[in-house]
Parts: sequence; C-alpha cells; structure tokens
Amino acid sequence: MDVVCSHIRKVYPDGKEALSDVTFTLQTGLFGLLGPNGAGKTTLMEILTLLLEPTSGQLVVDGVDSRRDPMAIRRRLGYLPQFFGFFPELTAREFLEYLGVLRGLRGREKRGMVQDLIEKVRLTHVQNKRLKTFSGGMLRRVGIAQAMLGNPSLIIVDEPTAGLDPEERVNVRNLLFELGQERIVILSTHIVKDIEETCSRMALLLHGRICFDGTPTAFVSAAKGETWEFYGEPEEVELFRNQAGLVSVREDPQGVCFRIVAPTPPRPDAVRVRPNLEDAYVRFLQKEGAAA
Amino acid sequence: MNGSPEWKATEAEPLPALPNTPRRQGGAGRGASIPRFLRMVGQGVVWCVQETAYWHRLFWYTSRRFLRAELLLALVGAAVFFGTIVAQDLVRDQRTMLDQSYLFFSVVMVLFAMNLIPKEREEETLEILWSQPINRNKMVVLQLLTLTLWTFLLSLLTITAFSQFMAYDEQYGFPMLLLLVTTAFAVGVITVLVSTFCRQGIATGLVTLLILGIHYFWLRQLGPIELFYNPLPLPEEVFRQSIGQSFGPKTPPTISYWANRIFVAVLVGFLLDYLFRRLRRTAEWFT
Repeated sequence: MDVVCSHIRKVYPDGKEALSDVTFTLQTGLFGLLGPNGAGKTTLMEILTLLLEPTSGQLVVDGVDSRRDPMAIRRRLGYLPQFFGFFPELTAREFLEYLGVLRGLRGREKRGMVQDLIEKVRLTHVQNKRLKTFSGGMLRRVGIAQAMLGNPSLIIVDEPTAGLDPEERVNVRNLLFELGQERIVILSTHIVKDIEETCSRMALLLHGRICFDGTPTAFVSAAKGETWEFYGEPEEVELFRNQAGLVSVREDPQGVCFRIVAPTPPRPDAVRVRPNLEDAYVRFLQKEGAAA
Repeated sequence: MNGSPEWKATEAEPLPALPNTPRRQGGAGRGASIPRFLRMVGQGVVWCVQETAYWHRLFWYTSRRFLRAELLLALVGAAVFFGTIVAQDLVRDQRTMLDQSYLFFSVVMVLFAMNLIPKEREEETLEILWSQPINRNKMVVLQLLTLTLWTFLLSLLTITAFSQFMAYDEQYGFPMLLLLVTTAFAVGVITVLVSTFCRQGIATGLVTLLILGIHYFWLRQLGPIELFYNPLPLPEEVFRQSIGQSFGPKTPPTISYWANRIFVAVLVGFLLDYLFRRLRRTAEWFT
C-alpha cells in the first residue's frame, strides 16, 4: 500500500493558490502533516479524500489514479474531517451502522465490525445513547470509529485532538498510533505535540508548499544550536513577545524563563539548550517568514 | 525444464479459441446459453436484492433524519386542511380534490425535501457522507424517492379517508395518485436543486414555493409542461355523460394525460441532470 502525491496544485476560483507543487510518497505508518492555520492542510486533506479536485497534479493510491477510479480509492479510505458533523438524532451504534451501509457492509459483517469498533474506541457503555448527548472527546472517538469502518488501508484525520481535554487527547493519540501500525494514517494538525508523540515521519506545510519532509528527529535538528533560554524580569515579557523566535515564557522560582530560537544568543547570559519539535517549528516559520 | 524461459512463454500464451465454442460464440448452443442466461438472471436478482437492502436502510435513515416533526406536521396539516375544505363543502368532486391535493402535497414535499442537503451542510455531515464509496447522485435520488414514498402514503391515507365524506361516486383513484406522486417527485427535485443554491432549509422552502406559486398561478397554461395538470372531468361533464349514452365514470383524456406526464418526466430528467452537475461541484462548499 502506498500513496503517491505528485505535483499537486490547487487554485481556488477566486485566484488564491492554496497548494503549489506538493509532492510526497507515503507507506505504512503514521505520517504527520504540520502547518499553521491557513497553510493549506485542510485543502490537501480534501484532495486526498477526493472531496476536492486538484487544479493539476496526480494522486495515486495503491496504484489507482484518483481521476480514473475515485470509487476504488474511497473504498480504501477512512476520513475524519476537522469539523466532524454528527447526526444528533442517531445513537452511536446507529450512526456507525448507517455509514457501514453506505460503505457497502451488510448483515452480520456490518454488525460485527460496528461492535468491534465500538469496543475499540471504548464506547460500549454509551453505544445506545444519542450522539447529541456525547462530549467532544466521545464524538471524536465516534469519528475515528467511523473512519475505521470497512478496515480501510488509508486513514486521514484532520486536527483530531483540537478542542479535547488532555486525557482525551492522549487517548486519541494512542488510538492513532495503534492504527498506524498496519496502515497509512495521515494526521494533519497544527499541534506540534501530536506529531512529536506519535509520528515516525512528518512534513511541514507552509504557504501551500512542503518545506520539510522527513523524520521528526531530522526536523528537530534544524533548530540545533539555535535554541536559547535565559531568565529575565517580568517587565521584559512585553519586550520579547514581539520578537520573532520566541517559543515560550514560563515562570519558575528563579524568575521568568524565556525560550527563544535564534541564530545568535539573544542576550549574553542566554544558555544554549536542546531543541524540541516546537522549537524547530518556530525556526521554520521564522525562516519562511524571512523568505516571504 | 519447468524453469526454462521457453516453458514460461508457452504457459503465458492464451489458448487459441476453438471454432464454434458455445461459450465464446455468445450462446450458439442452446445448452450453453441457458446457464449464461440463468447466471445473468441470478446476477440481476443479487443486484436487485443488494439495491433493495441498500434502499431499505437508506429509507429508514432518511425517514428518521428528515421526517420527524415534518411528518407529524404533515399529518396534522392534512387533517386540518382537508377537514376544513370537506366540512365547508368546498370539495364536491375528485377534480377539485385533485386541485387541493396538488396544493397541499406540493407544500408537504417542499417541507420534506428542503432540508435534504442544507441540513447536512449545516451540521457538517456532508464531508463524511461524500467521502464514502457511494454515488452521491444515486444517494440523493434514493432519498428523494423515500420522501416521495412518504408523500404517496400520506396522500393515499388522506384521500381514502376523506373520500368517505364527499358527495361523488366516480372513482379516479389510480390516475389521481399517479399524478400526485409524479408531481411530488418533480417538486422534490426542484426543491433539492434550489437547496444547492440556498444555504438554509427555510430559504430553500420559500424560494421553491415562490417558483411553484408562479408556475401554479401564472405559467401553467403557457407550455406543455404543467406540473399541476388536472385531466379529471368537471362535475357537469360527468352528469351529462351519465344521462347520455354510457353510464358509469367518464375516463379522463388518456393521451393528454400520458403526454403531460412524459413532458414532466423530461423536465425532471433535465433538472436531475443539472442537479447532478451541481452536486459534482459541491467541493467549494467545504472550504
């Protein structure tokens, strides 16, 4: 199973270019697509799920060209959109059964699969409750279950942890990690932590272009030697807030600790620290901002 | 020997076709054509069963999703509307009954169909639905058929119930129901087409009613396509005929009846074609 995306470009009718020359090849595993809001992630997701047609370029899933046989690709595909709408009048089980019917599942096979998925996402105790009574986290789990219906070999999830509490976020991440063991899972997010915790490979999408494609370790190395920490006064927060490359400000017993990504030390007393994914992300944004 | 290239090449080549082989000649032999015919019939039966099962599920889900308050409202509305006109003796014959039914069931169909797409858009379920391996045209048509079936059942119930209280004895039940059902389907198609332009169900309903009102009150005599065509005879005609040569109910004008329905079918065909093209361009709705 592989997904080949070559030279995908999308221009909207209003002339806005959402994607330009996006190319990558995916194989089994969890692939993280990182990018700020408006970078083109959702557009790319919609092209991968065949909801949108690219202006140019080619998408081939498991040897099947999306323009030739879109239905064959849809059969291999599970999708959880960013804004996951649900059918408030249906129960979780009915909702999954309905989508199971649409996916072509019948009779015992459908019932068995729905039951398995309900157990897998740990919703057995609420399976007969209406979806309108579910919390955000439970709805996300229903969404993931529906994406797994029909055992697709490619699952695409768009911002799956947005708006979830920490516990639910961990649950969803673990579930995605499990799924990524035997299929391609594309996780689109602007939450760096999600990628850091789960993905073996990632890409950074900025202004509709892939700026990085590789392992998270390689991504982090981009900020190596350029991440600094120093202690300052609370009054300085305002001063550094407007400075490009500020990653975080935290308060601890020693004072206010600033974390900054910059090629040179921002202050003489700044200490070089080991970068993480978030630092590298800020570094890339900085570079792209300068390039733009 | 088995591993040699020569052997592999011989194995890969297809066998030459034998002359007059029944299977290859499309049933030259009677014995061979029957199994193939039976196989085709079998495949047809399996297809029908699968499609029926699919529609059956879709029927119930569509009914549960779109016809909750709407169905109840339609039932109460039918009781009040037909109760009032029958009580006031406004419906003396089936012709008038058909005219009133057209009015009422067109509104019912608009009520049923106006949320078919806007509700999915509003609740953001369209992305999930259309990322499934389904033909969206087929799905919309099956949903429309579901709503038409409910309208048909409602009209059957209403007309049967209120026929008992009316002072006519001629019976045009079948033509009347066929006219109502086909018109209801056409109204449904118009409503769904309008809903691809309007974001909200209410707006869809109002615009569709406006279009239907213009057609009903002003444009129906202009062209051959008349959604609210009423071929049933006037009471005076029935009376004249009953004291003339033949007794019993007068048959409606068959040729113009079918011609009208064929024109309506053609209109529905064009509208569906345009609707399908609109549905293909719905990608912009998601962004």
